[in-house]
Amino acid sequence: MKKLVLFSIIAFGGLVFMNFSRVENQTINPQNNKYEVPENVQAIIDRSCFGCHNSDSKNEKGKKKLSWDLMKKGYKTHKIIAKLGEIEEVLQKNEMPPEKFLAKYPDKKLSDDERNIMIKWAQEMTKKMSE
Amino acid sequence: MKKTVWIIIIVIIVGMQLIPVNRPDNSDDLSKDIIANNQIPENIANILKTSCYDCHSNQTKYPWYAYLAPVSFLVAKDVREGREELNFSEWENRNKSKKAKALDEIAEEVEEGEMPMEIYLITHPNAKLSDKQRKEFAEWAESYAESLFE
Repeated sequence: MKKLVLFSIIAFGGLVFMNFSRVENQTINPQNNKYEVPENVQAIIDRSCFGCHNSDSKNEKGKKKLSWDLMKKGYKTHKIIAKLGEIEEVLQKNEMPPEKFLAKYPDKKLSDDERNIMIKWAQEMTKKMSE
Repeated sequence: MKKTVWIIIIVIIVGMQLIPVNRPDNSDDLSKDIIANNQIPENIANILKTSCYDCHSNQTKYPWYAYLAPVSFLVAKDVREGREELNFSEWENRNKSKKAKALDEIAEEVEEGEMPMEIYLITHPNAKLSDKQRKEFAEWAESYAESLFE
């Protein structure tokens, strides 16, 4: 009997833990749950992109071009895919973050490694979401 | 003295005509054309043909000055770059995600008035879009993109 209770507790704890880590590791989009942002990508976005590219941004142009929060919740599938393609392009052309912005905030510059992480993520996510 | 200046100017202009212009060729191939392969509403197809196709398709209607240097260089450059960026004659070569990306970009550029380019509109007043047309175009692009993933 004691064993059974112990087993139940462990099983319950395990379930809670699994659920918890799942929420931590990926972001679920209600329209398309294939969209995921791994932690290393999220860290780059938070440091170098989100400041201008969010739906509360004062930078009207940046906000309209891309709002990262709407990628998780708000944009429809075709919009997310379109934006992923544009993200890939501006990073490949090294157009983002803009030079002017980097002159003021040099610490927000992306290293080559970081750019490649973002590009690879955008490509993989595009493929996954287009399936 | 004055005569010499004129002769030099004429020689330069005539000489310029001998510089080869890399004017992109046209093609009648519609097998990958956006209008030929999709159900596009008439008003949108008209916008595409009148306001976009001169630079963004393989069916450029070259005006007479496209054959006259130095304007010919500018025309050739704009058509070449336009086709490279987006070619509606090669639309069906794009996969769904590339189509969605292009549609998102053209909706924005047309709605914001960035396209068609000002310099093109000077000599092509018919290509000018009204605010209503811009809105209709953006809405069409959005709904077309959405339909790709249904």
